[in-house]
Amino acid sequence: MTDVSILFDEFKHEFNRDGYADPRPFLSRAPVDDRATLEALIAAYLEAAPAASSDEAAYADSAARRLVSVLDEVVGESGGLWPQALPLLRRRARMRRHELVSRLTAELDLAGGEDLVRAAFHEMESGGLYSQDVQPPVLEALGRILGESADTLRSLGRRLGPPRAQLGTATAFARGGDSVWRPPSTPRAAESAPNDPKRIELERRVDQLFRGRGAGQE
Amino acid sequence: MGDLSRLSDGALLAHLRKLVADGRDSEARDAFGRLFFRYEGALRSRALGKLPADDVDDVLQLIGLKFWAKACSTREIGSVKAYLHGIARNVIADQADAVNKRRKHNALLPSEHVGVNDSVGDDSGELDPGYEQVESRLTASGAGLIIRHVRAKLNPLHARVIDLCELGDCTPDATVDLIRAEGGEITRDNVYQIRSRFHVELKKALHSAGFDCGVGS
Repeated sequence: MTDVSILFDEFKHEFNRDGYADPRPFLSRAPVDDRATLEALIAAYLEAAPAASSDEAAYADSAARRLVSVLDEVVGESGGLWPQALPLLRRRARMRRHELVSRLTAELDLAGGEDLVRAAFHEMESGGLYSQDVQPPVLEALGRILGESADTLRSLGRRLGPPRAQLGTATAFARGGDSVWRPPSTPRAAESAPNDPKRIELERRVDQLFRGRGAGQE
Repeated sequence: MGDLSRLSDGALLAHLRKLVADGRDSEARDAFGRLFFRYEGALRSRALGKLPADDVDDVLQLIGLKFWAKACSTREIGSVKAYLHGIARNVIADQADAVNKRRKHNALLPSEHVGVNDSVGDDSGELDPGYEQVESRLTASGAGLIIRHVRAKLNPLHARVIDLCELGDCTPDATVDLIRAEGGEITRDNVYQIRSRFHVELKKALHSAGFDCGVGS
């Protein structure tokens, strides 16, 4: 059992020495009925902690620097931060892509069009869709699944900087013709005949929802 | 613009926004990195206190991406520090919620299935159960409010001790020196006593607000 003052001082010392400190070892050393007190002190201290001073060596190895590299990668992409943010959100939800696609298909009432949704979501995650083309119902459904607001998803999808001169393969396919782009591994639903009206309607709705085509023309 | 480290948070944010408006994107991203770095340690510590270590880098990245989206917008940001901590509070809470769901899910799975769903990484981490019970309810802002409330009841000398030694980074000796230099009378023992009393009052306030483990208290 260690006094709260001593533990808190040790925490602050480690934070100031290393630039961060893991509260858990300190909390685990506190008497059980003092943990809330220590945790409150640590939480308030961290929220009030002053800005770290400039340190080039530390910056070079920081999450902030890695974040800049991530932003460098997506600059000019039509889907803004989606290629980085959507996998993070999916990982947070511990959801495989196919699970998410199933739920998204159901949420959008596109039964029978899971392969189309999978292809569209693949484009979205790989930065191939223009975020402004993705319609609100998609973002609202994704928000419910991933635990984010549609507004946040929209703002994450905003393009950074001027558009890239060369569009990615997925984008080129998606915007290059009238047919719906599908990854090579995603076959058209085998049971659907080429001119199946139900299938054509599903393709039209997926195109409208994810690529904004035909939106407002109904 | 020369040394960005000389700029205040607000000035650096304004500089960043000007760079974005001028189309100097690479410089804007560098300015953003410098700004985020200022609070990375505090954010990492907060995340480490609530989440499995394996989740922390993802969380920092998500906080950063969300902050970037806002930093590049026209949204008014009065205090960068408060704004970043606000984003962090929500992102960490959402992640902690996801971790708890994952734990419950794994606990419900037959043992042969535990770990099968690992394509996205599934380390639930191990938190002390008593701590987890506290941290699931006590937010940093809630803690700050309660601490301010308890501090407000102190006399000026005691409040000064708490500001310097408890919420600040002064050692007890430095606290004594500073207060004496300001004309106050205090000893090292007084500092310890004032801090101990503050902890007792804080504990009572936390208990009243429902923030305690309820074990052994």
